[in-house]
Amino acid sequence: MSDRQSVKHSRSRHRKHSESNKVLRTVTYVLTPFLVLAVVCGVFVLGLLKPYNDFKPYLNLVFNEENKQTQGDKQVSIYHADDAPLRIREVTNEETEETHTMIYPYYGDYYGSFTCENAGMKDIPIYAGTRLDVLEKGIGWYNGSVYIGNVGNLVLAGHNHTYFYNLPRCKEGDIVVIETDYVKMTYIISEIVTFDENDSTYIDPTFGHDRLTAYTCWNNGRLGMSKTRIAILGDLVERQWKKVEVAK
Amino acid sequence: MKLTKKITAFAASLAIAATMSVSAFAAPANWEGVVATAKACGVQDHNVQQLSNFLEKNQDKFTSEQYGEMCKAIEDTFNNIVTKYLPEGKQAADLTTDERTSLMHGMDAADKEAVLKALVDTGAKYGVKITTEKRATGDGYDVIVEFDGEKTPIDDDKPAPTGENVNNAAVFAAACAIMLAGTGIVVVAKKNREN
Repeated sequence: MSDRQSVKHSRSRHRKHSESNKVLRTVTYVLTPFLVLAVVCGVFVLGLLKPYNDFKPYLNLVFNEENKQTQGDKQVSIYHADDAPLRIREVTNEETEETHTMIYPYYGDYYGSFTCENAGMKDIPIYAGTRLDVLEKGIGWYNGSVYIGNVGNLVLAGHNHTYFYNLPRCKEGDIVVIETDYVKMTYIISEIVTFDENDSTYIDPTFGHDRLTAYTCWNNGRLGMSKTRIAILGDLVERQWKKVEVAK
Repeated sequence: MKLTKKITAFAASLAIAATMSVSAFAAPANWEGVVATAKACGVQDHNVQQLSNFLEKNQDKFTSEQYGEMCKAIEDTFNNIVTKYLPEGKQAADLTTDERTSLMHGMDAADKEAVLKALVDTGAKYGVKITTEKRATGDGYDVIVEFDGEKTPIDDDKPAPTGENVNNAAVFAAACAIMLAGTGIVVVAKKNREN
């Protein structure tokens, strides 16, 4: 190849090389910022996820209009007619001959509230039943357990990402108050247990022995579904019946 | 499981089933007696509690003769079936909670069907409607007892699902974005150096 041809060839290669460099530089300048943005956004999401989840139960309580409307009011329910009457009964204790009032909830209706101040839970709403649609509204009262106020094992369930998010913060010795329109039950936490999702030991009736069992999914401190449940077990400290005034 | 839940749920519905019948049993009874009978006949503990909750709430709707009939109906229904499955040397009333659960779950399909049919037919005569609904998520069915304008699902005898997956998805998506973006930056930087 002559010198001239060799120069020509070399220039052609240099031109091509320069053009591909330009393309690559253009791609780099345009693409890299997006890639950096994706990394920053990913880190942002991961970093803020936990604090957001910490506040999520409170955001739900403040901004969830549905919950506000259903507390204590007549509710539109799929489980009973809109004009279904209150189920109220005067009950006499055969041993003490004292009389108290029971108000029996309809499935899916607001039933009472759950408070454990040491764990940052105050007046968390309790609804009757543990179907998924009920657990979305609040803590669920398991209808295979005793009515609130009756003697036996009172079982409550709640989602670990909403209403029972702070349940794992409960400690032995903490006071839990369950309150309805007709009774106020005070328990002291005696034990924290974990058990398999197929183990019904702690949700079975105790027939004659007062206990509170409140449980949620346990994923070793992380949120999400799990085959394990964590429960607080409480011993009854006080049962305080309320005077119930019924509107005529 | 579905049929077992229907059977024991219908123990509660027998209270309604007996409302309009003429009682053939002279011995009066009350709602606590019915609950005690169910427990003595080996009914699962959580279903005994559900029966107790139902009868306590509706106790004024039945006469003592009707409660007597309920006791007899439970005895006839469960003792004929339970006896066959009882552990040797054990009475139904002496079964532990776990033994009751195992017994109910261990009944063969034919026996479950027979009990279910009898209970459904009896309940239908007295306006008690028992339905099963396929659950929207997961496996299994929900059993619902309808009476007097009220629908009461029978909550499962196992702990409810109380977790959720939304945050896991967010974490996974964020992690993927970081990984892919980081890979992209490395590749582009490498190409730049080569050129």
